[in-house]
Amino acid sequence: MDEQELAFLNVALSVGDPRIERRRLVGFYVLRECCRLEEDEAWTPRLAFARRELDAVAKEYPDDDRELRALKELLGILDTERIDRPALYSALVRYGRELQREGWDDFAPMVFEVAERSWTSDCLATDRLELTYCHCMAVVRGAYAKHVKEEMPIVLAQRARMARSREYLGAARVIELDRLLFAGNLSRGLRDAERLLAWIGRHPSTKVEAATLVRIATVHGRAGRFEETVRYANRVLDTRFDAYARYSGLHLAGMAFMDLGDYAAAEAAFQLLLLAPNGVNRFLGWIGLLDLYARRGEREKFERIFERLAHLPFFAVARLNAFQAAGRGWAMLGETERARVAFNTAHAIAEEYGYNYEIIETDDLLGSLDSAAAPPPIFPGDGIVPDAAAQVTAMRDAQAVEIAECLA
Amino acid sequence: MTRATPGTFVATGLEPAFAELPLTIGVLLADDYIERVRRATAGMARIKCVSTLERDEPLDLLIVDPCRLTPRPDDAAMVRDLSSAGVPCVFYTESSPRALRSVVGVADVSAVRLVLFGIDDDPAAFGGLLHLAPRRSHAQRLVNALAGGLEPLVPVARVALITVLRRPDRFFDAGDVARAAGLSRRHLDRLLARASLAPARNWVVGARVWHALFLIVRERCIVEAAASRLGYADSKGLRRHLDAVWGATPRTLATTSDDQLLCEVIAYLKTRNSE
Repeated sequence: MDEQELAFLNVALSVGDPRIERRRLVGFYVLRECCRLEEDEAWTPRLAFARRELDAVAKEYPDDDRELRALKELLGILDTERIDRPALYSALVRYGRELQREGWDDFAPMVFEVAERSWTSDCLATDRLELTYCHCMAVVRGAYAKHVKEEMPIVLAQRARMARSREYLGAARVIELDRLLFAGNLSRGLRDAERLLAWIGRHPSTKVEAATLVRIATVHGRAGRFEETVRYANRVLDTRFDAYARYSGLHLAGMAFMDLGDYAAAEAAFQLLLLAPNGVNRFLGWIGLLDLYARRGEREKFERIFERLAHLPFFAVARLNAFQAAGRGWAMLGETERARVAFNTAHAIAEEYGYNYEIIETDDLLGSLDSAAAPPPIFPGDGIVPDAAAQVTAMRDAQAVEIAECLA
Repeated sequence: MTRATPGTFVATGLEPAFAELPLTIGVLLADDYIERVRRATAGMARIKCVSTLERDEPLDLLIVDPCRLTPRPDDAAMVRDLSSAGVPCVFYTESSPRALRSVVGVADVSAVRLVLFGIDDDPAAFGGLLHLAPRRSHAQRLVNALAGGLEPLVPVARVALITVLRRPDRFFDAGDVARAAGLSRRHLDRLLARASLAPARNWVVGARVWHALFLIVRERCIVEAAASRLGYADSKGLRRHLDAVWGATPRTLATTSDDQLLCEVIAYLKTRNSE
C-alpha cells in the first residue's frame, strides 16, 4: 500500500466518531483510486462503492457541506472515461484544503502528497501554489522536524517566484510568521507581521492581509493585550475577506471579549460562529457559548448547549476539549460531582486515543477542581471595545433568524 | 507479451510478463475469496494455503486477509517471514471498518496493495493488480530501504524521489525530478546535500538500474528489451549505468545476491561524489 493510503486510513480509523469515520473512509476509497491511477495511467477507477457510501453519508449532512462537495467533485472527475489530469489535481487540492479547514491537519498532508504525485506539467500554477501554501501550513503546525518546518516557506517562496506570483510570496511570509509563532517567538513574529502589513500596502492581497491580521490578533491575545486583539480581529470582519478568515476573526474577537468582560459581545461572536461553513469553527462557537453561560451562571442555557455538544459528531480531540470545557463549566456552576464526571470522561478519551498532553492537563484540572469554581479573571479595557462590540452585535442581529434555527 | 486477462492495466512498459510464467500464490483467505483469486488468475496459478506451505517452498505471491492473521499466530509468523524475504504480499479483505482496522494493525507486513472484496476484485482489475504486484514489490523494497534516509527531506522533495523510484520510466534527468518537486535544480540539490543524499541524477540512474535488475533477472528479459522498456535508445546506456552503480554487466547480475545489489544501489543513492 502507498504510504499516503495507509496513513490516511490509519487517521481515518482513529477519529473517534463513527459518523466522521464513515465520511473519512469515503475519502480513503477515493484517494486509493487516485494512488492507483498514479501508478497505472490506464487504471479504470472502481467508484461504485465510494459513490454509494458518499450518497449515504451526504444524507446526514447539509447540502452546503464543503468537504463532501469537494469529495463529490473529485469522484465526478475520476468517474469519466478520459480523466482530466489538471482537473483531478485541482479537485485534490480543493479536497485537501476543505479537510484542513475542518481542522484536519492529520488528513490534509496525505491528500496534498497524493496531489503532488498526480501533478503534471499542464496543471494550473495557481493550484500548485495553493496546494503548497496549505501543505506548508499543515507542516508548520504538525509534528515535523525543525529544519523541514524552516524549509517549507522557502519552497513556497521559490514556487511563487517561479510562477511570478506576488500573492504567494506574501503567503510564504505568512507561513514563516506561523513558524515563528508556533515556536513561541511572539516579539519577532509581531515585528515581521507589521512589516508584512506594510508590504501588503505595496502589493495588495486580501488573502495575505486577512491571514496576517488574524496572526497579529492572535499574538496580541497570547500576550494578554485583548483590546488590540479585538481591534485587529474586527478588521478581518470586513466582507472583502474570505469567509474562513472572517470566522477566525470572530473567534478571536469572542475570546478577547470574554477576557475583557464584555459577555454580550462575546455571545454575539460565538453565536455567529455557529453559522460557519466548517465544523471546527462551529465547534469553537459551541464551546465558547458553553464557557460563556457557565461564567454568567446561566445554568439552563449551559445545560442545553452541553446536551447539543454531546450529540454532535466531533473528532476525539474535540470531544475531549468539550468535556474539559464542560467540566470547568460545571465547576463554576458549583456542581463539583458533575464536573468530576466530565473531567473523567475527558481523561478516558485522552487515554483511549493516546493524547498524552491532554491526560496531564485533565489530571491537573481534576486536581484543582475546588479552585476551578471561581470564574477566570477579567481585564476591562478602556474604550476600543464598545465600537467593536457594537459591530459584532449588529452582525449577529442581522443573522438572528439563522442563529435561532441553529440554537433551536 | 500475452496476458492472462484482458487488462485495465498496462501502458507503463514496465509490467512483468507474468502471464507467461507459472505463478504460485500462497493464500490465507476464506473459500469465497480464494474462488475470486482463481477467477482473477484465469486458473493459471497454483494456489496453496499458507498453513500447508513447506519451509523454503518458492512462492511468487502472497494474498492474505489481515483479519485472519491475528487469530492465527503461526500463519501470521509465516506471512511475516515470507514478506520480509521479499515475497510480494497483497491484502484482500472486506470493506468494513473492522477489517480495515486489521489492515492498519498489521502494517508491519509491507503489503503492496489492498484489494477490497466486492469492490475492486472483479477479474480484470484483480488480475491486473496481481500482475503488477511483483514489480511494485521490487520497487517498494528499495523505497522501504531508503525511507529513513528520505525522512529529513521536505515532503515535496520526498514525494518526488519516491515517485522516481517507483516510476523511473517517467524521469530522464535531474531536471525532471526538480520539476516534479516544483523546485529549481539547485535548490533540490541543496536539499539533497543537506540530507546527505546523492544528486537527483543519481536517483534517476539508480531507479532505472534497480528496475532493469527486475526485468533482466526476474523476468529474464534480454538486455536490449529491458533497455527499451526503460526508455534507453539502445542497450549501451543501460550497460554504462549498470557498470556505474554495480560495476556489473547484465550477465553477472543474475549471479549476484539481491541483498548485495540493494546495498550497493543504496550506497549509490547516498554518495554525493559517485557521479
